[in-house]
Amino acid sequence: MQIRALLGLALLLGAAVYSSSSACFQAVSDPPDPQVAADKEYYDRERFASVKPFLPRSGVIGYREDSPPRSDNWDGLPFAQYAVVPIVLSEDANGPWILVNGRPEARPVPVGGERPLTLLHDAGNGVYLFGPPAP
Amino acid sequence: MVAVLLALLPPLLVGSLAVWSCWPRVGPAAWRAVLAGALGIGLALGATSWTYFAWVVCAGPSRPGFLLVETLFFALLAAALVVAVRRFPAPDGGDLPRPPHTRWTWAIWAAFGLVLLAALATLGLALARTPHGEIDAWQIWNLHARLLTRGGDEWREPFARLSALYHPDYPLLVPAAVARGWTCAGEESTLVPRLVAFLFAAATVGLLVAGLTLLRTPAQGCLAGLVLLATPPYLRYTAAQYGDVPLGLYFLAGVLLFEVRDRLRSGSERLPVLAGVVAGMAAWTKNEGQLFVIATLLARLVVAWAGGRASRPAPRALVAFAAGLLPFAAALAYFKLGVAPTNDLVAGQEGGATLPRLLDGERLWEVVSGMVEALVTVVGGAVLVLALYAALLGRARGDGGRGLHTLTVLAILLAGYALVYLTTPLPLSLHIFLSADRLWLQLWPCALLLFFLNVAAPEERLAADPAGPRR
Repeated sequence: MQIRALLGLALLLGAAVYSSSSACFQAVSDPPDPQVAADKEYYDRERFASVKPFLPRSGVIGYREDSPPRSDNWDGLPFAQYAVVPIVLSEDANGPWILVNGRPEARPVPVGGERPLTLLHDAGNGVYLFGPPAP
Repeated sequence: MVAVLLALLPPLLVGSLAVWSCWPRVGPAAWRAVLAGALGIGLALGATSWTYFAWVVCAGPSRPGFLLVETLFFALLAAALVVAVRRFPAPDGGDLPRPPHTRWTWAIWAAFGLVLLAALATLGLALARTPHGEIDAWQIWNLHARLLTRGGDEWREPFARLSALYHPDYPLLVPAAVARGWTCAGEESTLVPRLVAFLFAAATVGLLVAGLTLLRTPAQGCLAGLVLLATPPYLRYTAAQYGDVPLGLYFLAGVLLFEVRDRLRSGSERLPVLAGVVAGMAAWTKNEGQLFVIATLLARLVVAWAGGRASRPAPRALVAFAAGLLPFAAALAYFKLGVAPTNDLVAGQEGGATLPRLLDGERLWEVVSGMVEALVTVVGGAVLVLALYAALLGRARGDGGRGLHTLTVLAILLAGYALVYLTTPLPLSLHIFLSADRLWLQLWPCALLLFFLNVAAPEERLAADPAGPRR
């Protein structure tokens, strides 16, 4: 019985040490693409920073995405939502505010339902905020 | 970050004192202190989540003075607990049968040390590399935390307007704990959710080790903690900052408290009060936690039925459980009824779609096979090794029916999860693919508790080993 118990203990301890050390080795030797974390940090801290003061305090605004600069692992609308919360972004909303997340060289003009929209802010990095014209 | 840690001390003191005053005086005081500290972390994070949410509801997130009021609240609570501990010491738990120490214990602790170091390195790297966590962290948990801190007086509105993609109906224990940390830090630092995630995992390991040490033997506790630490998906989802690891802590605490009560035949109502608090925190963490409350109550009936007249659940114990549950049930009811939209899985049951889904044999097969596949993926290797280990060491001596409460809770939770999958309005295979592995991880600490309650301890088998090294 004692031999069996020792065998069992050796099996369990050996498997646990192997599993944890191989997980550790894999974490060290095969790190995730650092660009993904860098992209997220950039999107969270910088990309929408200059447009935030122009956003309403709350409510739903439109969101359009037009090939923004990103890595292959870009998560699109959900991460933009994370960055600009408590504003709620909706691809279905047609105004009165629309946030465009695109390329710097393109300047899309979103259709804002029946009312024309004017450019309120150009962040210079492909982020534009359109809104109702001043009365 | 120092401010965040300092602000966690008063609730940690209250949580640890609460556990210390409830846990029967059985086993070495040092291990009881470890257990009080580990469960105290879970109670502290849950309690601060509650106080922050109460402040947001009553005063608004932007109103200054939260930390002052909260610190006063916890200081009063701590003072009351100190007086209570002195005047009404924890009930005497009597003696549990304890096998003698084995000389092989050093090998088990050495392996535990190795695994702990490797786990800390793995987790530390993962936490450093993914400051925002994985997708559910920033799409759900930390997003909701930002809603609380940034929402101002209109904090309720975004919850009502966000699409189901962001699960705005999910309970707020983790988001409110993170939001409180940000309030203490004075900034939305990604260190806060990472610290919260780490604390929940550390508390789970500590609680599992200390709980089994007190209920069984030190080696048994050590082995359980070692297996949990050597489960890579557990570390991955800790670093991912998901709600499943916190939920697993509350599941473990909830079943452990009733296992202690059943094993010591303690008539004290302190453990059911604490179990109620823990169950409330589980319900306030994730929707699965609400199922855990039901599972706990049903498990008490099963334990009573299996134990005959002597184990009939005392009405006072149920009242004590409900009293502990109440604060978090109230917060949950306020949030669910007054702030959050209807859950997408519930909303998708309209139009008589539920019954056909329930009766669909193909769906049932897909659910069962999908859950088994996820089990194999997440802990398949560990289950195989544990099965061999159990075959070699055999069943623990002593009373039968050990862990019946835990077994029943696990069975009800599993049945509930399967039922949710069966009736889901989402594409079934995708729903299983995206969530089944995390559901198993919620249950994993409880499953390890159950396993090591029932399998023979190394001390039992090796105590008289003549081949063991001499001192």
